[in-house]
Amino acid sequence: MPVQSDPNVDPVYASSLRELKWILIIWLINAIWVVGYCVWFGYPDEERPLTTVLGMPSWVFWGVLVPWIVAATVSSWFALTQMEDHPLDEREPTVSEHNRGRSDEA
Amino acid sequence: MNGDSNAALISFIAYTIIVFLLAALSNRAAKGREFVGEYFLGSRSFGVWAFALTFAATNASGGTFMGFPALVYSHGWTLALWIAAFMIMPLVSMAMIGKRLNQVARKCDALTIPEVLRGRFESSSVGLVATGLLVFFMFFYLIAQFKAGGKILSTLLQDEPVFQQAVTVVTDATSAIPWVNQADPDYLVCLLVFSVAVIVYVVYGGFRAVVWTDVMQGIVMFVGVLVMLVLALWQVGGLENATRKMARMTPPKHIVAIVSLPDPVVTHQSVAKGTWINDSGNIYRVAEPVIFPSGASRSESAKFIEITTPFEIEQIASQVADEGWRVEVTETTAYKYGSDREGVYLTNPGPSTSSELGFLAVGSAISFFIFWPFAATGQPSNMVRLLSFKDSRTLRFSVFTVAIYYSIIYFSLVVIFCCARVLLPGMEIDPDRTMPELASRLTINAGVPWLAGLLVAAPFAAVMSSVDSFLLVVSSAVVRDVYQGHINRDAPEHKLRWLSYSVTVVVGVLAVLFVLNPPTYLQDLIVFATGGLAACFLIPMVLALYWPRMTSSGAIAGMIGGTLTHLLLTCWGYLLYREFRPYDLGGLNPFLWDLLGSTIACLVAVAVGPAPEDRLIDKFFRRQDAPHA
Repeated sequence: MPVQSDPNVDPVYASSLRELKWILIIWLINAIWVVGYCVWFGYPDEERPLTTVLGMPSWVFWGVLVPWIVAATVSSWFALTQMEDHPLDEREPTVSEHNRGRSDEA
Repeated sequence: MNGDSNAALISFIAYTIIVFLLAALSNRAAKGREFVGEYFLGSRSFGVWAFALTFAATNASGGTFMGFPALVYSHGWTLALWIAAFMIMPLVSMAMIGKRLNQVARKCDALTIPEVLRGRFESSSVGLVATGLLVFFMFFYLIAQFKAGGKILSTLLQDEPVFQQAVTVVTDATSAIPWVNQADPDYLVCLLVFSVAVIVYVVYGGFRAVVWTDVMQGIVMFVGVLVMLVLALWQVGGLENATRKMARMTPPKHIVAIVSLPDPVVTHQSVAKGTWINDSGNIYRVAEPVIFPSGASRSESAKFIEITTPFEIEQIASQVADEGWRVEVTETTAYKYGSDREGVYLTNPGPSTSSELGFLAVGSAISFFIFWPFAATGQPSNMVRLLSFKDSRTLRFSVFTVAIYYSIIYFSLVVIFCCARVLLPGMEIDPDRTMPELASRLTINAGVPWLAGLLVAAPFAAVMSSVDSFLLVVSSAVVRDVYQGHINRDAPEHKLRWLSYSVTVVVGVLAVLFVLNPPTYLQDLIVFATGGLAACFLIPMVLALYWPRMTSSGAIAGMIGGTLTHLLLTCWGYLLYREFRPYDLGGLNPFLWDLLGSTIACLVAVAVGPAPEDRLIDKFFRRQDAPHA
């Protein structure tokens, strides 16, 4: 069932599924950055001297703190602007949902 | 906590009174509402602040303020990578299933997670299996939290005369009671005080009280961590200084030794845990009481740690005089990774007493980035909160709030307890006490000992906010899923009310009895229970919400498959290490294998079992006004 384009699909289910896919993509990008950077630069290397940024080891700064700030920003942006609002109770659909259902059908 | 614990005691009492007041207000607010829905879910009415802070506070448990600081202290900066997945946790654990779960729960009129699964498949077998597994794993989590509560209080009150009198009375009263008399008396008194406080306010106020107190506790934690961060950075001379000192540190040696005194003792004597000994410039710290029998100059064997970092040895030797005590080492346990290696606290994988690969090998680092956000998503105590928000806007703004909250709290904790490595040498004798000891040290050094009350209230709040939630999850499972779901569907409200109160009390008391003699590391229990719950519920719940072809047999198989994999790896780990920790098959976190076991079991059961009814697919996946398929 092509969920997003089917007007008969529950709209909460359809939007939640779309959001789930994006959340997994965001998580994956985040994981690649953090784990990739920290594995590359955060494990012992005799030839690499200790360097610090803002008092913490540089691998912590670039591999944890910076992605942490980015992740919090992206999470906030996604939640505030990309997630859809829907009535969650079992009841008659709202006028806007009806209209959107019709435009989807069209 | 020195002689200043009066202030801390007053802070603690004031804090507890506020908690009780909130419970009383909750009780009043609940008047006139349907009892079960109100008691277990606050009538699904919570807005952004209440929902966001109850979610955040429930996740920040005893592990956050006791186990996690102990790990940062013991292994250093590598914990930044270990905990890094918390950066994405709010988005994954709240937004990934929140809206859909809340909607499905409303369709089923479900108040608990087993009820959601039962309603989604209209199968009482699914509900019963879910209830049984939930109660089993949740109980381990509960006892870990009760232990944390007891430990924090004992540090807070240990020098208070009233408390010492109470300890004496309780010791006398319990000396003849088997099992109870094995518990440390200080800890026993604190455990009882903590347990009575939590059980009473949960019973009296229900879910609404739990959420309101979570909001207050969330604020206390936030303020406590920020105050601690400022004090720690100031007293350590800046983060750069702390990191530079950590770069010169080497892990201590864990030893067993006999102490010889210059002269025999006249009567039986013991040297308290935590005492420093300077033996000709070698520095030791007592890790368990050292006993000198009457007339002896040599002690019985006891555990110590030996400090190996030169600048720490110099610093402690300048404060602890050599009194002629001689330490005869009979057994030394070196770190398996990091022994005598400078800089080991600055890089991954961090020192380890148990693994040649270090604390956080590459496989573990990858695993934890998967484990934290997805294990949090699979926690029933989190899921049940996702049933309580009033609309999807509340969920969206709560993700934003919790993302900011976690960013500040968790990264700050890593910084604070890296500073603690420098400020508090020798805490390896009891790493779980690092947090309260540091709170005490920081505030006394800053000349504001009264502030210790607030700082210690932060972990205390974290523990309370977790215990109260878990108590309700377990009691709701018994009352709603077992009694109301299977024994007496039409039970009158007054009967449900008293049953709910009674079950909450009984579960709390049982947890206290189990935790009288708990294991050393809180984190072991928490990791076991967290992994087990997520292994059991995550895959079946996600598939139940998003896969129309998912069936009741698939859900049951997924729950049992995940649980069995988790138990198998834990037993394997126990046989291999003689410790309560699962086996890292292939160097990966067992949670990944648990999820794989659960997924395979789900898919196989769905493939070989009967197809789902169209009626259920229509109910949960199609618009209610759509023509039937």
